[in-house]
Amino acid sequence: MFRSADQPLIDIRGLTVDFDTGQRVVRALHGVDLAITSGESVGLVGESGSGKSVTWLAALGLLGGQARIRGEVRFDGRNLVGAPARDLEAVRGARIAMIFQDPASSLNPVYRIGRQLCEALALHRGLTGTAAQAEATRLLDRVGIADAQHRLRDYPHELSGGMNQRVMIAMALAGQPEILVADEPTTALDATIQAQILELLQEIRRDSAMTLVLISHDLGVVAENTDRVCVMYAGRIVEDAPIDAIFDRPAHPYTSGLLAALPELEGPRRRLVAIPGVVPEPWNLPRGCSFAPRCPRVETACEAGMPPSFQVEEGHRAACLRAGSLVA
Amino acid sequence: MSAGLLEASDLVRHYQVRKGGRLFGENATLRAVDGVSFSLQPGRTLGLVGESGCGKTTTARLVLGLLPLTSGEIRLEGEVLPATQSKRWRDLRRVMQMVYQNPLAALDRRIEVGRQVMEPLAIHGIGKSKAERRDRAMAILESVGLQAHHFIRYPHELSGGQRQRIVLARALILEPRLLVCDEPISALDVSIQAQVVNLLLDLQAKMGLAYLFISHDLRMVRQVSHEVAVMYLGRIVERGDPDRLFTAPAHPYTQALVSAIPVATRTRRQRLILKGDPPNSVDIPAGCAFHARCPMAVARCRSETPALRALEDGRQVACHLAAAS
Repeated sequence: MFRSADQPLIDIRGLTVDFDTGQRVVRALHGVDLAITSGESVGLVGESGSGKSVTWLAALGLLGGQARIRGEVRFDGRNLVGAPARDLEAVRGARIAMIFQDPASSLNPVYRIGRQLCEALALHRGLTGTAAQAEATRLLDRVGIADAQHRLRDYPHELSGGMNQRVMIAMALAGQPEILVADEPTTALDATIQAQILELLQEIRRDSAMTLVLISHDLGVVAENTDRVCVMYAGRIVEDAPIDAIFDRPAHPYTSGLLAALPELEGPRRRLVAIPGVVPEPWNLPRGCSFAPRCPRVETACEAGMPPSFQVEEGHRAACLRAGSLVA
Repeated sequence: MSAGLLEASDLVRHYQVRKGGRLFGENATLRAVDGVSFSLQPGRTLGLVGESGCGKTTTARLVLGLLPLTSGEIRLEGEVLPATQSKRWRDLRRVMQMVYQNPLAALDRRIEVGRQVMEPLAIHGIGKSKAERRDRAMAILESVGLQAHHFIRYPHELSGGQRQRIVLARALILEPRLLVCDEPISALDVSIQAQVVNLLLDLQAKMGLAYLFISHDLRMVRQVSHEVAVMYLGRIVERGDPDRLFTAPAHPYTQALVSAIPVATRTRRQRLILKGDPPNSVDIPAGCAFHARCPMAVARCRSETPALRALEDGRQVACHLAAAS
């Protein structure tokens, strides 16, 4: 398959998700644009309900019947939005794999992990019997589980949370995907185990040049493990920039607010600068910019409409009128 | 140390369990808290950190008398904590209150939040009339940053941050001197965490409260604490000034814990990655409980349990190898 260097591996354009609750239609995603090139590692940060997970669940057709999805998700020349189930199944797991926050609820408690791994191998690579067993052992070994051959016979409840997350990663690798979407992969884990799992993801990425999408509420996790970050707020990407630019010169007031709200581990202690107010409910968004009611730099123009995304510098975009006036 | 607000000496809480969780399994002892001592002065904060299962929450419950001690002693303002559920204990609950992680679970969904804030006053027979209690509830709502119209709301009508403010108001209406906060901000969004932490600090300055602040978030713990204790498998392994403890941790476990925190600023430190999971509290290894995961362990660590000892800068550490100078 030929793809030129600057052509994105996956190109999400104007992705919109509406949930029909029966009483009303709630818009969870308001036109997300995100292009990722092969081998990139991209972090998605934002608070709960900001649309980080929904973006990828929608892209992979995992949202179920109550969701109405519009827009485009271009992957390998095809649009995944509205694609037939058979086409999506050829992509999910095999080419784009996803791992979730709570490994224990992603694994089937009544099957041995070996059987679950072999199922993935049969599905995505057509391996069966001893070949599948051998590959399953190799995968477990790859994700750093000692004594892999014997661990294949364990049930998920016999393993710790960190071990189960390793099994999930092994299962995601079973299809040799081009993109791994890790949705809060370490949120349920303790700090020292989180460090182990993130180290493992980095190692796999170094070895296989896999594209990584890391969804997290923790700016620190994203900063250490990705090259580029998209900050989401109320169903939109409000800033998209290389990691260093986000920390050195954030262009969106929400990003600056998040950074000021985080305490440091070293240096003098300062009072935290909290972002006032609360995240608006998706069915009750303010007119204009969704962040305007909490923004310290709000002006009347902000209430007129949602600001478009402006390019602040090469590879750095922000959806804020202030950012727009800086470059104009 | 002079008699403080809270003196906990050698707290122990053991559970008798069957090994492997089986009905006919071998009898075993789960050592949830295994000899923890600390003291807390009025207006000060002790931060308690450690991973899940290290005994942080059990310690908190022991301090409040919500769990009986296996052995050890707790003194509150010089008085030995009376037996749980006794009349005197109920009276003392006025002085010590708890804030839990999940505010929605701590509130009654079917009662207006304002009435829940008033309830402790009625229980302790404070205030002459309902109107007076109501006024006090209104005043305390205001001091936690809520408004009068929040009084008649139900928990589900409030945001996570507002609910945690209600829980705080309910704890504070009795004017306690000790507030035990068990992961008070973990369930909140990042932008809201800073609001609640600032509120806790303001209330401490205003009311002279002492906090026992439990969290796995080391950065937040440093932000609020005057002293920090690091727990591992039921014991305190290091204790001291938060700035020193986090900048130059002396215990290898603290070192690993500190280096495991992802930092937003991109100065990469050498990360100390521990192998394996923490052992089960039923099978705590002999000697130093940490030796199996410790990158520096020597033979002595396998046989001899290190006691907490003071370093030159006033910190205390339970490690054979930590330099005494």
